[in-house]
Amino acid sequence: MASYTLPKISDRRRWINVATKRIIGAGGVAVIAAILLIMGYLFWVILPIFESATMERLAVHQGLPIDVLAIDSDDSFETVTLIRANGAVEFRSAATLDVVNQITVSSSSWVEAKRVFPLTDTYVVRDTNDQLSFFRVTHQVRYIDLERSLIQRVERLFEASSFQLPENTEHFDAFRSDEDLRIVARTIDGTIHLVEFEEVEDDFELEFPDENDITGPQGDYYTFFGPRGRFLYDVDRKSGAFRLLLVPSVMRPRIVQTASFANQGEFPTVITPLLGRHSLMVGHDSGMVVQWSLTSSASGSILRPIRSMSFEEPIATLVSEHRRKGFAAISKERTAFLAYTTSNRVLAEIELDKPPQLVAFSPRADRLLTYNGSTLSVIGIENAHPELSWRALWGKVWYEGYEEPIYSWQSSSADTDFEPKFSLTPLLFGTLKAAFYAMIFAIPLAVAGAIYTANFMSAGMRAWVKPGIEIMAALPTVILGFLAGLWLAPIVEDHLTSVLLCFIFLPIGILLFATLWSRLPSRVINSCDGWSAAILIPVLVLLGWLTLSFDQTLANLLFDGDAKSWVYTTVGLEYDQRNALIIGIAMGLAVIPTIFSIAEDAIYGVPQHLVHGSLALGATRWQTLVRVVLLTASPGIFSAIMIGFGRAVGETMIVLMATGNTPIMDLNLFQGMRTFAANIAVEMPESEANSSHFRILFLTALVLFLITFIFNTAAEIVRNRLRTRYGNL
Amino acid sequence: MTIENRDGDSMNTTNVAIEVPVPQSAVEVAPAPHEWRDEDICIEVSDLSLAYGETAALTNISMQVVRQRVTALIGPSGCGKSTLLRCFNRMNDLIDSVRISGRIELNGMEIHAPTVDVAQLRRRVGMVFQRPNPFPKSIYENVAYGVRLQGRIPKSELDDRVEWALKNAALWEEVRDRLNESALGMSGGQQQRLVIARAIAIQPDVLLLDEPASALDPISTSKIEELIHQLKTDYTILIVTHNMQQAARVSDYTGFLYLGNLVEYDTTNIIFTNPTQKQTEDYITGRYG
Repeated sequence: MASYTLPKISDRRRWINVATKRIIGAGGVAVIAAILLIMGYLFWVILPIFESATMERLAVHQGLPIDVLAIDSDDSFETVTLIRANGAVEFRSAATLDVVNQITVSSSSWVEAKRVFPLTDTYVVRDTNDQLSFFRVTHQVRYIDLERSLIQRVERLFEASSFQLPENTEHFDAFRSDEDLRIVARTIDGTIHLVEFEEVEDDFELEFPDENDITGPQGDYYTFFGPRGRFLYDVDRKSGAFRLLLVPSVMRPRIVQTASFANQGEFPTVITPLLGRHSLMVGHDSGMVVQWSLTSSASGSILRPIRSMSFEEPIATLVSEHRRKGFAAISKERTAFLAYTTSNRVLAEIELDKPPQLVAFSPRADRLLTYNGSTLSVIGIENAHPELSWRALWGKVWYEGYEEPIYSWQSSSADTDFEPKFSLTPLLFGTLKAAFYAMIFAIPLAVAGAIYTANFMSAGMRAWVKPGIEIMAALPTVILGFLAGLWLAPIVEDHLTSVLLCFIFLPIGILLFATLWSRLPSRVINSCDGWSAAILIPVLVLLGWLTLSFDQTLANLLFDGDAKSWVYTTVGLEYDQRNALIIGIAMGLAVIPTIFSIAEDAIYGVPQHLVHGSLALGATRWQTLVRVVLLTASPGIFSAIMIGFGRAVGETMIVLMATGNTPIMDLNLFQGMRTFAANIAVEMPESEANSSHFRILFLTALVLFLITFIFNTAAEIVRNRLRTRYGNL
Repeated sequence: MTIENRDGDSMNTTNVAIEVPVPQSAVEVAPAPHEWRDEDICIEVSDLSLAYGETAALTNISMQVVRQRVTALIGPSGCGKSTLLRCFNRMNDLIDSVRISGRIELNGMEIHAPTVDVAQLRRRVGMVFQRPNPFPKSIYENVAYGVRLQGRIPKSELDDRVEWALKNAALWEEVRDRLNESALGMSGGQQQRLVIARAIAIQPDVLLLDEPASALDPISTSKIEELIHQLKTDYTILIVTHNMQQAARVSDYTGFLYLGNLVEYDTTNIIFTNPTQKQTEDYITGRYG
């Protein structure tokens, strides 16, 4: 019996097989890995947002002087600054609290030291003679022989001149802006002494002030300046009764509000302004801390309670952060709580050894210093993103200065005391609004176009039309956006009447023309069978041109001469030049090729034997289209729409250039919006790395990713169900 | 066995000695063409020529199709038999480059007349294709499809119609419990019978069967053939087939087409036992095809 062996596979072929398998496998794995890596990176950046804050006692230093009036530290917490009653400013190493430098500023003794509002480096001190002196403390980094060293300087301002407080001054406050210095002093008999030095420079002497005395109620009052030094709070420490004064100039103060901080009959225990002094935090024995904010009302700005937080222990001290709207509350039971206003969160707490005399945040709010006659505790704080919470990101938040809780995205401002508004809702709204109007424009055109092209167009014309529309997808969206924002938007604004009427006239025109066309002799109709769409082009161009050229006539006829003002006065809609109408058209054009191409493939791919089966049963072309073709192609058409929607949601350049990027929540067709994608593009370059703002932008990227992921997954599920039901394709 | 024909005449049936076995139910004598009376004629084709662009597909075809009989069209591939079949319900209109001359009269009415509504014509002339083509809908909806096209109809009436059609297509017993399941889950033979049920649900006069069993297995094929026998009592059936045994088994008359010409047209008996044309004999005996 002859033995027979199958030929072995050649080495070369085996090698090619193995290599192909490996390369393809590696490619697939690499794609998945890349997506996971992007996801992972997004999560890695976002994760710190959700880390909870911690407070931890780092050190307790004994043996400090007992005459400290104020504590401060430098930005990087290398030096602790003590302002002492003996007229000296002492700098101590933050680590050991050894004295590194001591500068005697004055030979007289001080009784009180406080910061000059709203500066962070300037102090005003009151000496035993009721003289107010001003000085600035600076920390400078120097490199001497490549060795880093911190140089502390104390600089007397105003040529070391001082200001004499009136006799029996109980309380004073100072405000300094670029051009003026304001001082308020309240005496025991209730007189409020207002002083203003205008156009004063650091090296000017304090002389020739404007001075004005007004009378107020007697009592233990706490009087201090409000925002920009143009407001004055005058608060009775005992009863919580307060007066709010508007001080455009010290000569013309005006009382705008008289009310009380008392909460259901309970008097406040402590009142502290937040950063910027737009709000006051009012603490109570019940453990409630109420935030009162200057909000605009019919009679001007007044203080209103906008938020309250409960700490469940009587509040003894409140101290606010220097750069954010956070604060620490220290209870009479010696618990220090860390809290944040915008997000309405109590973040962390720690027990203190003794009730502190002085409490201060470090400038970056990463340390809390508590001083209690000779003892200084340093509490370390990890609290990078207190302003974020689920509610602050998605819900309505009552921000400082607003009349009511709102959804708002306003991430930055020129002011340092600005409260960032990080509500993602307006951006989500804008994203969906832009996509919605784009889809309203795109779906009818793209799907109807696909139906016509696949079913009725001659093969010759289809061979031109389909690739033509698909090439539109390759058009850079920056060009579309640029044209939409700079060319289309002004045209639409100038010819609003005719643009709106085009949406009515063109469809009517098409129907009228079709009716006329069907009345023509069949010889004419048959001669351009399948090309009849081409004949529509001149008709549409002519109709559009006619509508545009009779814009003014039509406007006079329908809209009293001006559609824009008619829309505003009659319909009550405001008109922005860059609005959802422009986006609908421009982004609609951008997604039409995607929808058209996929839908056309689906419709064209409906097997001819199904179409013939239907026609053979006596169905008309229209019946066959509706009952068989569209039904069978429905999974594909649905996918096309969802992919188009995904594209519209993620589209960046068009919305960036043609929406105006105003993060407002208004469905109005004539107003703009800001989308997630545009927001990331606009703000990422100016966002400080690892700041809350930075991480929120990454969060929006993740949200955007999730939206597309959810929509695509839902679309895929629906498509699969449709396909098992209708598809034998 | 005696069968009543339309006119009430009774005809004696005799066994016909042809080589292929014929089901008993089909045994009857079809009248020879010279015995046809005018009222027996359902479709009359005269001088029909058809060309795809410059290529002639059918040349001067003239024939008559007898009412309530099965007429088979046979011939080698590309001879034009399917094209001819598709002329009867004007399915060739769907092809852009087709040119047709000559006349086709259905019950004395010219089907190419400009006043004819093609959709109405196709309701009278149903068609079943080579590949089963049920719609991606339920079994019920497939059968109801053609009925619904003609306008709204009460649900009970529609139910009755669907049941009637499925029974007539010998499918009712198999599907009565799963009418709402997708038709795509049926076997090929069931699908083809479903398509036939769909066609007869609108009660056409004529049924065109374009190689209805060519994609099916032998068992399904025999079911379809049995069905054709049953259906001819109500319908005029034209069948195109490649399978000569099938033509012999199911048809009363057979036309042989070759290169677009109707070479010979007579009773099936004559065509298969005693053709007058040499070409026919050559084809039947398998010399070419």
